Amino acid sequence: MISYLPIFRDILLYPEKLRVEDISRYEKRFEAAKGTLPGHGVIGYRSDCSDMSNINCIARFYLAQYALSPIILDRSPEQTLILGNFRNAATVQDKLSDDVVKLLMDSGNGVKLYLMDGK
Amino acid sequence: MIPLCLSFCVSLLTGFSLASIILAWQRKSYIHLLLQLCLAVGLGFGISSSLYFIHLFYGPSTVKLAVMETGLLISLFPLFLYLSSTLTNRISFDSAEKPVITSVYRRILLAGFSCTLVSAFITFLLRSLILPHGGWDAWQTWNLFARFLYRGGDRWREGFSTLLNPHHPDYPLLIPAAIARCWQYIGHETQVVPVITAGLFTFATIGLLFSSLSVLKDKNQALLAGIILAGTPNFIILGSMQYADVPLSFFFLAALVLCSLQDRMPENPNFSLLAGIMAGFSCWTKNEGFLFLLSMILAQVVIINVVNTRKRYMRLLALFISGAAPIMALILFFKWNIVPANDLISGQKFNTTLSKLTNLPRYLLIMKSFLLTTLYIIPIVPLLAFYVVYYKIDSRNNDKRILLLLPLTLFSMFVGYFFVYLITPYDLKWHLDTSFSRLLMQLWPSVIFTFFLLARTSEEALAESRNIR
Repeated sequence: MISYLPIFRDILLYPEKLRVEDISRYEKRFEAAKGTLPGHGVIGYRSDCSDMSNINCIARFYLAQYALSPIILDRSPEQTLILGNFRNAATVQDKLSDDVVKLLMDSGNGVKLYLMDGK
Repeated sequence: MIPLCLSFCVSLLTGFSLASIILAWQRKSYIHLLLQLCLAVGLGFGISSSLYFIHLFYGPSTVKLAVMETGLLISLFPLFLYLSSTLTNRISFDSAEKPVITSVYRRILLAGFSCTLVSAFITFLLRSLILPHGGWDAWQTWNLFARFLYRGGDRWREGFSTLLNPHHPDYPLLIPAAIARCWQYIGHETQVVPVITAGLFTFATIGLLFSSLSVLKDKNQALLAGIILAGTPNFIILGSMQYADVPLSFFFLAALVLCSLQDRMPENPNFSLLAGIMAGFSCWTKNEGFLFLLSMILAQVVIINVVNTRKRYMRLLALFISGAAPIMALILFFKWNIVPANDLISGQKFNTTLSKLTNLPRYLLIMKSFLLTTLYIIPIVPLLAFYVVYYKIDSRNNDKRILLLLPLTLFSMFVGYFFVYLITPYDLKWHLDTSFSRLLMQLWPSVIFTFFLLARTSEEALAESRNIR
């Protein structure tokens, strides 16, 4: 029982420490995009948190994948349809600017859908 | 709510009926019933997930799945009823001779076990409320695969793309398929399903440890073992995080328990068959299951060569392999046809592997990590080592098989894990830091079982010292 005391303390006093991300809330960010996306297949993924050695960026990518399954997210630049997942909803300038021809959807919370040029 | 309960009940009933038919033992007390119920959890989920996977090839459909599952249950039920009605003709099971224990000591242990179990349950519940999607591996792998199977419809195979999970695209499907199956019956996704699945496996492992030692050794040792496992916070936390390491630990323990029961009950060879099924389901849970299956077969081959009753043990080994064979066929089909190659195997190149094998600092780093992680996560290990040195192994057990089988299997597992780390294509320190604590928990229930089954109790040691005098 004693071995559980530190765990009870952490759970009761600091529950926020246990969460990598509030997954259910994070999933809701993608609700609007889900309505626009096809039911299956592979789409591209871009983010302002793209350093895949950074644990937060990895978590954001895989949580987006978890939310949008059965669609598969591809970080390579090969896809025509791209999901943008930005931390700041007001982000206008992003790394896509050179290739983007059309912004298909902006959910207003940092999740955007783009159609790419030259594909 | 009713479809949710029904989906779990069908699984558990199937497991319970099949366990009754295979074991065909006369349950003498509630402990035997508890043991069988705990075995039914793993067996039920294993069968249900396998059927769900097979039904995907005919196009996912709730009706088809229900027909398959109820068909199996209905075909098992008359046999189960027949065996129940002929209980008197069935082989009875004699528990180990119980030493006389003071009731105060028993009550203290019982109170300790109850408190620890309640603490473990509250911890599991609170953590599951805070993290209903589980820990990182749960939502990145197991629940993600479950979503692909359930949401994917006819295109469920797309979930096994290397784009999706570049590290472990070939992970087997017992947990994802069990979750997706329940969602299919319910008609929508709910995190209650993975939470209940994880809870059933976590507490069935504790129940299996307690009930098996009650049957094979004595209740005091069983209570002590239960206190140690339920009092290992890391095990309960892993369970609440919905990691597959806990179900895997269940299947490892179940296979070893059934082999031990086999030795206590030589008239009924079906324990070996069921042990093989459990070892097969460990392979359907995680890739580490293959190492376990191989370790158990190797240990039995070694035993066949050192004991006198070779013919009987060869028959038991054949039954063990027969139990695992159908599940292995399913897994081989899955690995051959559906998924890409394993990352740890495909990442090997002869020259780099050879240089890793001859690199002494890698050996030292692994040994250091094994030792420090073990002491950090399970600080009770030195105490258990001291106990076994002081009280010694129970030499009254005249069957050499079990004295050798359990330690040999566990030793082979540790050696196997050691060599997987030695040749890992990933950064060794990162790989050790992120996985060894989980591997330790996979084996921890089996280590506790082996320890308490083989070590003498304090009463036995005391009685022997009095006899010597």
